[in-house]
Amino acid sequence: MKKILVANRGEIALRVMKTIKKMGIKTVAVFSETDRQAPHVKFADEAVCIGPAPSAESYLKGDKIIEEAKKLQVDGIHPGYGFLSENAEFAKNVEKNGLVWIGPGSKAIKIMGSKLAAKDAVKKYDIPMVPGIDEAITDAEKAKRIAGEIGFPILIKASAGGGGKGMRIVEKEENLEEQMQRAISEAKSAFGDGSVFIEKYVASPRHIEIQVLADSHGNYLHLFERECSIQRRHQKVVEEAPSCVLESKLRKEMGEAAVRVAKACDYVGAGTVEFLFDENRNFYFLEMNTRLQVEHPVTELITGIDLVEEQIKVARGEKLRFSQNSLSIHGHAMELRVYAENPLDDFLPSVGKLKKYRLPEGKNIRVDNGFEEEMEVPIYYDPMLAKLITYGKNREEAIQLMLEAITNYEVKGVSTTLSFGKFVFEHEAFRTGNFDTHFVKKYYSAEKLREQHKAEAKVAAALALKQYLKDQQQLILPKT
Amino acid sequence: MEKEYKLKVNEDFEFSFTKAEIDALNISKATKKTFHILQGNKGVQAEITEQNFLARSYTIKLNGNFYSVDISNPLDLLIKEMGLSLGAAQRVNDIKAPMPGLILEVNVTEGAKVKEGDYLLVLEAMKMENTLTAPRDGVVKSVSIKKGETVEKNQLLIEME
Repeated sequence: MKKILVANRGEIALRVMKTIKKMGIKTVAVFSETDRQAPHVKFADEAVCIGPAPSAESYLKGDKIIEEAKKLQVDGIHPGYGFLSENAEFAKNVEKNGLVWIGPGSKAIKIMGSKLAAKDAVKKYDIPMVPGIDEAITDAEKAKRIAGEIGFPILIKASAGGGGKGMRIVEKEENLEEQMQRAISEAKSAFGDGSVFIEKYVASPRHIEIQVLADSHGNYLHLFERECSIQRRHQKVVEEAPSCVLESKLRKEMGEAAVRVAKACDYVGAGTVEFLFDENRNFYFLEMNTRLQVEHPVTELITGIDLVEEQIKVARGEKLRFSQNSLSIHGHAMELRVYAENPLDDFLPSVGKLKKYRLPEGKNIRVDNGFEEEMEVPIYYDPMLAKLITYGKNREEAIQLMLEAITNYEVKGVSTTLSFGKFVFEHEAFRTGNFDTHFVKKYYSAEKLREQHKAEAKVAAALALKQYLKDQQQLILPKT
Repeated sequence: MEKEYKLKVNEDFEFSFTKAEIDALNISKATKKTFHILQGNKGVQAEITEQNFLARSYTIKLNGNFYSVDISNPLDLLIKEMGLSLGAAQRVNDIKAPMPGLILEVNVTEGAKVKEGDYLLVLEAMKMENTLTAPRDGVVKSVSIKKGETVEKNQLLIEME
């Protein structure tokens, strides 16, 4: 492959292109009309505008992207995450048009892209599963009956879903209908498929996932776990590797289960098998993500393996260069997703202009970033600005460095999850490793963060006033 | 009585200090713009990143956060105390957009009777659907948006009688 098109935007487009360039391959960026100024456009060797701002008219236009790729003599397409990355139809069309698809085969995407088909596929592979139904549901009355059988609270999930979209927890029967409608509509708009199903809502779980890697010669491996239990709105905000609750025996068991899931769908390339981990240390298969994950950097830092490079090599038909036994964990890595959201206002998206935007720098600090100072944060896409990743010899060191990096990350113009991150990394429950996916519900409140801000604001006010009084003395003012 | 200064930070928090309180602060100047402040035994670094004496506005960076501080002068205070400032009598019946976004659905029309918690409209921003509900029982006086429209933050969406 001599030229690869990255069918994505933002930090992930940039991150993927960096590896492509490093491998001596040319890069092509695609962009919507609103993204002309975006760094991924400027970084690429070539760039092509594929339509207006709304993703349905640009980043989701698979045919248009393939057409442009052919015009520019592109050899392969990397989809990043989100957008077309888990669209089996697109993957198939890419290959039909004689281009290399840097991802798993369309069969694996199709099976795992439907959570229902996934449940069905792994059935015979001895993988533990959460109680629930394994068929799509649209009838509210039927849903009520089934929910009654499983017992509230239940979880409504989009069969095509991911990232918390189209997913709703329902605590009481009277909310079921409205929530189901919202979930169906959200799933339709986000994934073009409105099927939802119902699962038992597992109380106080941790979210632990296993990175897998497979080549086209039948070799499968796992690259250990990532823990992603700190979530808001079912979306991950803080991730780390390794998890502080797994010991080597369980790690091996989960890793092997993940490899069996990958085998169940003839997986090729980099993928992630997600598990729920309950307080009794049972794990249940949740889903498989047939793409690069947002949080893949923490795995890269503890294994020293560039996952995008491996994806490209596997797509070129190469064999994996390592065996399971040659892999080991070194140190600890933390990741904070920096979203343009206001943690003081229920994490509502905060859009606007980045009047100031300076990234922290230093050894063992990595920022996968997609924005620059003076750029507008558009309303059309996911509000993630960047991922802040730190590495240390151990967990404490990674946390400490993270806190330092957060302080040196300067953003003005929009609110971000940086202050929320600081709250998490300073929190006793997080530091001792005693937390689950309810961390936010249990410990976080906007008031607590607001109190911290208020105390800081007071110091700032006092300092400002002192400076003002000093400036006043220095000026010779006309007496009135 | 000693003169009091009123300050507003990020247009959100309000504080007042006397000059004596400011003089009593334990601030050590590190460089021209950076300071170390001791409160009890707790120390914190702060930096003045912007200063505008004439506009009485200063920006302080503290723990990575920016705080823009506005210092009120006596005239501002007088106007405020007399209740002349704008926005004081703002109606609480307006339902405004909490963020910029796209109106996906409008579930009420003018004159509709609503109960507290009823779904009024769905606003989509960054792929998340947010349902806005009626803050109390009442009648919808006006609906100023329609489905498919893009709205700005704080734009008036629905007015209640």
